[in-house]
Amino acid sequence: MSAHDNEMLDLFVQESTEHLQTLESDLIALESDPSDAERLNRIFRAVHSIKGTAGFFGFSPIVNLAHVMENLMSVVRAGELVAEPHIVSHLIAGSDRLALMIGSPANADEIPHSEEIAALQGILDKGKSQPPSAPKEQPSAPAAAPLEALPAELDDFEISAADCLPGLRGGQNFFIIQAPLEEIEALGQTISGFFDELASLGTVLDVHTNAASLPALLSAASARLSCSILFATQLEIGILIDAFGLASSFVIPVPREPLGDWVRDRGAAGPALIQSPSADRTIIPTQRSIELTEAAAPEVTVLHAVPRRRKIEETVRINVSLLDQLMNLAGEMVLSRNQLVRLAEAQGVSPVEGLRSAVQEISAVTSNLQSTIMRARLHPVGSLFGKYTRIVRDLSQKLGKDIALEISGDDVELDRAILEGLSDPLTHLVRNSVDHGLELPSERESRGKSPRGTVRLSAAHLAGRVQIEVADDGRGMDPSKLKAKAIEKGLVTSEQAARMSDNEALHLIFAAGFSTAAQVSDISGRGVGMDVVRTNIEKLAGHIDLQSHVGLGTRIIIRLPLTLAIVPALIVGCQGQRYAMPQINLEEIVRPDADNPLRIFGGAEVLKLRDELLPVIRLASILNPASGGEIPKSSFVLALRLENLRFGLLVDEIMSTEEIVVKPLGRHLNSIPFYSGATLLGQGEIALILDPAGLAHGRISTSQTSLPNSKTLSLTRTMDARRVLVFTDAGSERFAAPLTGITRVEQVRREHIERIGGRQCLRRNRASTLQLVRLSSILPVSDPGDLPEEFLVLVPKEPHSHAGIVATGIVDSADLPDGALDDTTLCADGVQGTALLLDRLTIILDIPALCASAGIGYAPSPEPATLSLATS
Amino acid sequence: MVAKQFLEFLAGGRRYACDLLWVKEILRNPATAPVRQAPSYVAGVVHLRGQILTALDLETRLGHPKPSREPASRCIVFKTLAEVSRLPAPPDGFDSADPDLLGILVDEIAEIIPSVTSILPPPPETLSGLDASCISGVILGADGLITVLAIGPLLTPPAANLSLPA
Repeated sequence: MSAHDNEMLDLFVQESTEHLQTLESDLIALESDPSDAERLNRIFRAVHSIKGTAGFFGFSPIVNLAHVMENLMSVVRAGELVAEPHIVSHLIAGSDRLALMIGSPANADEIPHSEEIAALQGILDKGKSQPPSAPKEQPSAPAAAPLEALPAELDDFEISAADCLPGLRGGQNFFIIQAPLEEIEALGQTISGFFDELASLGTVLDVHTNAASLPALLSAASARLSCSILFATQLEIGILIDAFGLASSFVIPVPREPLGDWVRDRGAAGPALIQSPSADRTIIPTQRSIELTEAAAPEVTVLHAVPRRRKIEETVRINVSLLDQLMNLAGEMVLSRNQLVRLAEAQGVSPVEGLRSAVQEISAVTSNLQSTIMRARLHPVGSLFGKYTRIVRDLSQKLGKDIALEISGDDVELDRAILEGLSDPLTHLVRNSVDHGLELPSERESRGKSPRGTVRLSAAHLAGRVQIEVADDGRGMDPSKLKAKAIEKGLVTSEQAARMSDNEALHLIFAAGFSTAAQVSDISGRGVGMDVVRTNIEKLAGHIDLQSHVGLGTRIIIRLPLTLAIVPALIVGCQGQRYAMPQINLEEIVRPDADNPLRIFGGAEVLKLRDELLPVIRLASILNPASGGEIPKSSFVLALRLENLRFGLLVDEIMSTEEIVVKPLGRHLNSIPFYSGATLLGQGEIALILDPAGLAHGRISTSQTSLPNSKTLSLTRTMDARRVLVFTDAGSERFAAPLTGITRVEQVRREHIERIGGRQCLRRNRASTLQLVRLSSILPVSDPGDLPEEFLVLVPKEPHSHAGIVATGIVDSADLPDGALDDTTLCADGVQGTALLLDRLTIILDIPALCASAGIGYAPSPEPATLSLATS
Repeated sequence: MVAKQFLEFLAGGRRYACDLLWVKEILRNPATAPVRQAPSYVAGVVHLRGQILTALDLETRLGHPKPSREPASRCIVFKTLAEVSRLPAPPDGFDSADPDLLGILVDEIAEIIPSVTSILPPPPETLSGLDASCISGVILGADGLITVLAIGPLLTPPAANLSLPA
C-alpha cells in the first residue's frame, strides 16, 4: 500500500516540477509581453494543476500559496490587472517557494512562505479596489461569460475559438461527455481504449479531469475520478450513445448556434466562416479520413486542434533500467540474428524456399528495433536550456546589464546522462558570457553597439553528433592579454608564448589554473575554471572549442555524441584476452620496431614519437605482473591522452575498431581500477573495457615529470592542429593531410579490394567497409596508374571514418607554419591550398570537403558495429 | 514453518545445498572469460543472453585453497535483488542479493532435496579458515553431510582483507 502511495507521490513531485519549469519560463517571458493571452492561460493552468494535485495529497501549505497565485493569475487573465514587472517578480518568488515545498512536500510547512502569500494577497486586494487599469490591452476579456444557452459545463474547458472552428465549419455536432472513470471501465474499456475510440469517431477538443494529467489518471483509476470531454463529431446524439453504450445522462449536447456566437465573441473567428455551416458539408469525408489515419497512431494524438498542452500528456514515464533491459534484449536478438545469418549462408543455395529473405527481413527489423530503443533514451535539450532563462534574467538584474537570451534548437535530443552532465559546464559558460563577456550598456553604446547584449544558446545536429554553442556579442578575448596572463601564472614561457598563434593563445583558457577575471566576482571566477568545463565535457566524450574576436564576442562550441551507451572503441588483444579501448582517449597507434625500439629512460620505458619521448606502460604486466618481459612481434603502442597526460600503452595485438555497447561490471569487479565496464563483441565474446586513467594511475606521473618537453605536454594538442602528414600517391605530387583529421594509417593488399557499384571498397571487419578515395580521380593531379600490389590507406576521423585515402608512401609529418598556406594557386574542392613543406610544394587536403566530393556522406547515426550484420 | 526446498550440488568433492528460492537457472559448461586483477574468488565473467554475469568460484569464496582442476561444469545463477524482492516469501538474507547477475561455479548438480525440517549448526572446528558467515548449517543427507550455504552473505563482496587479488 505504502509503495503505491509513494509512487503516486513521486508522480506528483515529477509533474509539479514540470509544471514549475514551464511556469518559470512563462513568467519570465511575461515580463516582456504582459498581454500574451496564451501565456497567461498556461501560467494559470500550471498553478491550477499544482494546487489541485497538492490538495489531493493534503499538502495544505502548497495549496494555500498556489491558491493565492491562482487567484492573482485569474485576475490578470481576466484583464482586471496588468502583469507589471513587480507583480511578475512576486509571482516568480512564489513559484520559487513552491519549488522548495514540492521538493519535500511532507515538510512544506517548514518552508516560510507567509511573506510571499501576503505580498501576492496585497497585490490582489489593491488590484480589486482599483478599476481595471489597461482595458485597451485586453482583446478577449469581456467575452469570458458564456451565453445563456450554453451548458455551464463548458466553463471547465480550456478551448480557444480556433479549436472549435473546424468543427463548426464542418457542420459537426458538439457534445460534452461526462463520465466517471469507473463507468468507462465498467463498459469493459480501458481509458486509453476509450480515447482511441472517441478519436476515431470525431475530434476530442479538450479533456477536463480532477487529476493533473493522463498518467496520474491512469494509475489512479480506482479513485473516484471523472472526466469531461468536449467532443466534436458528425454523429447524432442517439448514435453516439449507442456507440459507446453510455447512459444518456452522461452526454450533454452543446447547441451549435450559441457556440458559434460564443466563439465569435471570443474574437478569433471571422463571422463569415460560421454563418454557413451546412453549405460546406462536402469537405467532410476528407476531414474524417485524416482523422482516421491519425487515430491509427499508437498514441491519442488526434488532439491536433489543441496543439501544445496535450503533447506533454501523451508521454509515458519509463524507468531507465527498463529501457536498458530492452536494449539488452535487442542486443541479444541481434546476436542470435547473426547466428541465423551464418547458418543461412552455410546452406549455400538455400534448400528452404524463402529462408534467405526471411532472414533479411528479421535483420532489418532487429536493427530498426534497436535504434528505436536507443532513441527512447534521448531527451530534448530544451529541458536543460529552459533553466538558463532564469539564470540570465537574475544575473542581468544583478549586474545591471541588459541581456537578451536567444535559444534555438531546443528540440535537439541527447542522451539523458549527457544532458545531466552538461548542466554544470553550460551554467558556467553562460555565467561567463554574462559576467565577463558582455559589457555594461553604457560601455556598449560608447562602442557603437546596441545597449542590449545577446547571449545565444543553440543546439544542432552536425555529422551524427550534437553541437551546442554558447555565443555572446560582448567584448571578446584578447590573445595578447591571455598570453601575458599565462606567462605570469607560469603556464608557458615567454618564448613559447611568442610562438603561439592567436588561436592557440585562446585555448590557454582551458589550461588548469587559468582565470581571466581581473577580480573575483560573486558570479564567476570562483575557482571553477574553464579547465573544469573542458574536463567535464570530455568526460561526456565531447570536445570543446572556442572562437573569439576582440570587440565582437566569443563563441564556445561543444560537440557531443548522441549517447554514451555506445562508444567507438579499438579492440586489442593481450595474452589471449580481448580488451576495448575507447577511441576518445586514443590519439594514435605506433609500432615499435628495430629503428625505434622501446628504450629505458629514468627507470621507465619510453618510445620516441616524433620529437618527443612518450612514457610507455605494458598492459600485460599491469594485468598479469607475473608475465615475462617478452614483447610479441605483433605489439603496438597506443598513444593515449588524458586531460594533460600523454602516455603509451603496449598491447599484444590490434584486432579491430568497433562501436561497443557499454555494460557495467558487477559489484565484485567494479573496484578494479583498470576496467570501466565490459562489452559483448559480435560473436558474443566478452571484452573488458580499459580505463586509461586507472592504468596510468601511479605508473605514469612520476616518470612523466622526468621527461624533457613535459612542460609543453598540455599544449601539444593545440600545436597538433597545424601538424600535417605528408604522403605521396605514385604520382609526382606530394599531399598533406592535417594529423588531427586522421585516425590511422592501414597497410592494404590489392587483392582485398572489392568493387561495389563502381566503387572500390575494403572489407575492414564484419562490421564496416572502407570506401577508397583515389586523389587522382577527384583532384587535378597526374594519373598514378593502377593500384600497386601493396599500398596504404589513411583513415580520417569521425564522421568520415568509412573513407580511406589511398597513399603509396608516407614521407613524414611536418608543421604547417602560420601564413605558409597559399590558397590562391590551386583551387579545387577538397583542397585547402598549397604550401612549401619539407622543401617541396605540397597540396594540403581538406578532408571533409574531399570526402564530400568523393560522394562519401557522413557516417549514419551510430549503430553499434558489434550488433550489425555481416554483409554478404 | 513450511519446509524449504534445497538444491544440492557438488564442488571440489564436497556436498553443498542452498535454498532453491534463490536459484534463477543453471548454466551448462559456461564459457568463463577471466578477469585479470580480480579478487581471487572471482572466476570470471560469463555472457548470458546479452548481459554480463560475474561468476564466483565457490570453493575459493568459502576459503578453501584454490584447486587446480578441470574448469567447473555448471554455473548456478542466482536471482537478482529485484527478482528476490518480488517473491511472496523472499529467502533469508535476500536484501543482500546482488543488483546484477551473479552466479557460482560448481562441479555437478546433484538433486533437489524436497523438504528439510532440521538444519544443524556446523561444528565450529570445521570452519577454521573458512568464511563462516556464508555457512548457515548442515543437513544430514543420505550420502553424508551437506553444507548449507547462506546465499545472501555468499554473494556479498567480502571485507577488504579477504578480497586481496591472487
